[in-house]
Amino acid sequence: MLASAHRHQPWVWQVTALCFILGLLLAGSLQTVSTIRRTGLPLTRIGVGQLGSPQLTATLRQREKEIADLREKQTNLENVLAEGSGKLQALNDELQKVKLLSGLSEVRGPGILLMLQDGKPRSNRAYEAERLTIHDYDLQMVVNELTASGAEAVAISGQRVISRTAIRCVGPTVMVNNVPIVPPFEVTAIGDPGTLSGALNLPGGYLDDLRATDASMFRLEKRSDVRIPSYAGSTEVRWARPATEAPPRAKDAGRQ
Amino acid sequence: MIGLLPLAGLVLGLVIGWLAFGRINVPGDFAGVYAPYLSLATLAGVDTLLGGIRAGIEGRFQDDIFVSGFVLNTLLAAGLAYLGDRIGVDLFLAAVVALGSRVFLNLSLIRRYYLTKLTLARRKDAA
Repeated sequence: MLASAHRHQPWVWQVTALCFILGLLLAGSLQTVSTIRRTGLPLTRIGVGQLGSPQLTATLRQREKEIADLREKQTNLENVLAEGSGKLQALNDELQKVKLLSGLSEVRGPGILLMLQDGKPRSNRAYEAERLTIHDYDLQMVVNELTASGAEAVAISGQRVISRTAIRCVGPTVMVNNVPIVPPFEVTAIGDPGTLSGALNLPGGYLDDLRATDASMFRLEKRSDVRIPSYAGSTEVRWARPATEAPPRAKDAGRQ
Repeated sequence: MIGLLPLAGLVLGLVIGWLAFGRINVPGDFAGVYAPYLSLATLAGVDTLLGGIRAGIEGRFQDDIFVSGFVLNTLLAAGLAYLGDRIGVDLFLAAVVALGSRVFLNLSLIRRYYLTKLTLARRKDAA
């Protein structure tokens, strides 16, 4: 074909050798591209390193438990301290109410339990995996919906949602209160069970969408007694001061 | 028959490469990083290949030029792409455009050569 007129010329062999190398490169490219397709690469690459080692995560969980225990002890001590004195009692009642509102005490009451998990893909297309994954913004939407319909306490997989809670995606996990959590996500909320589940089930609402995608991705239960743990993250306040005081200087507040 | 050797080499390379790279099983993240370099190297290979064939049919094929051209073009293309990644300019594209235009040029010259030969042969038959 190529060398019909140039039989036995040396360049045919060299071209053959190069063709072989080219074949290797081409096969490498094809394999690489198919690897990229297969894995889909939808994962955010940023911050995967922040997940830390399993040991660190275990330590974190243990510390959280200790913090929760200490908060409970503090509440008990406050109650004991207030006993007997009318003034202290009034002050303590107010304190316990504020702690309940801010998420610093464990609470229980009627509410709902919503389990969310990733759907099973029927094909390996990237866009489908995207749709069948529970994302950080799914959790944000659920929390928002619950709060809007009067939930008084919300937690995601044991992480209490308070005013300082961030829900964000880091690599394959979602961080709530800077703690990585993985599916299945267990969203618990205290409030009127009928109102809460009704709000989630509104036509065109969040669960309606999810049901259209894959109904096995969620399970919603009304519960007569839900326990929601206290917030176990940092309560350090560096910048905000009561409005009656002078604001802190940036230099002092920033360095701790 | 000997003209089919390059084709056989290409097929052999494809098969071996496919099996070898399938065995390696690189993580997806990493594959995304080096995929452009590999594609660029492939393009440089195609360029040198067609350049070599062209030189061959023009009767001025030199093996040292052929081999050094392949190695240096590949390295330069990958180096440019890397530099581009570092400084945030798509120098990658410069290599793609330069190599791509040469591929088309060489291919057109090879095509002309064989078409002319075919026409001449037909005229000879007719005469």
